[in-house]
Amino acid sequence: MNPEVNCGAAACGCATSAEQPVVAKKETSLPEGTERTKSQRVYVPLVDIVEKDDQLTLVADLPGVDETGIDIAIEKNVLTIRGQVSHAVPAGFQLRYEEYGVGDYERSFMLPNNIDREGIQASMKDGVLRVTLPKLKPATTRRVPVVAG
Amino acid sequence: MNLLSRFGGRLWDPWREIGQLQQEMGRLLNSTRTLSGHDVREAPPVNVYANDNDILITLESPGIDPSLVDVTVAGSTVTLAGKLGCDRPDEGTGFHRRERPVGQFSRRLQLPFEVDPGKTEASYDRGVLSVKLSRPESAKPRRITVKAS
Repeated sequence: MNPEVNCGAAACGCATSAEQPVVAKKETSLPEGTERTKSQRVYVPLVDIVEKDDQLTLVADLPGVDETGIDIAIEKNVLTIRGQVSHAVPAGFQLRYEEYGVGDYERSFMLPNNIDREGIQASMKDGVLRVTLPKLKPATTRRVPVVAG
Repeated sequence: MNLLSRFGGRLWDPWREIGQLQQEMGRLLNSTRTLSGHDVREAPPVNVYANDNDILITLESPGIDPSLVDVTVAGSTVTLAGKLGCDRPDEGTGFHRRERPVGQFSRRLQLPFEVDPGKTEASYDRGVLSVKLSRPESAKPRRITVKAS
């Protein structure tokens, strides 16, 4: 899309030309015939996933969530991210104009087989969750010397 | 001359032309849907909250650098500008998903009254930028007692 974007610099003074359209928050879908027990809305967080030689990095936007509200679960091959927002409406205020809904977040990903499940690490800063998924080292092939005789 | 043949044998009708142009313009202006079928909104989204004394504008902008955020108050106009996507992972072997928005943003909001720039507070927490503006005395709700004659 816009591969010239690279925000490696600390000052972040990089110039971006092409801005991609921002997609409105989408609510998560539930299996047919099921309902949520809470009235809180649940949204799908937007993610970036980057693969490098030794790891996968998943970055998810969860505005309104801090590290205490995050729950990451790995069950079988599925990684599920859940984020709980702390305050829907600021104390003492009433909502007058709404462009985004405030609610929890949930999204699941199927993990590839070559991920080291024990080595998965996650950090949370400014509403951005960063999950590092290291890859398993490929099994080294062992050669068996054959002796003549 | 040969107007009739140029317009497919029909007489040229300016009103039909204008109608078509209007339709075309409407289609262009309303084309806020991307190929994926999501609604595209102005980016990043804001919510406005109010109480009797203050107005609170919140902007969902996870992962921005708060030192690069520009909050400008001029009369009754508030402008919030900054840059999204500075924490995007480096381009590695490749992106599998790239959903998080990137680029400069500027949102301008018109308030129904002038605000005092000196009483404006801005904070950034959990990926949400909050700007608190104080209502001037003239814009505070007042209870008027009805006198019995």
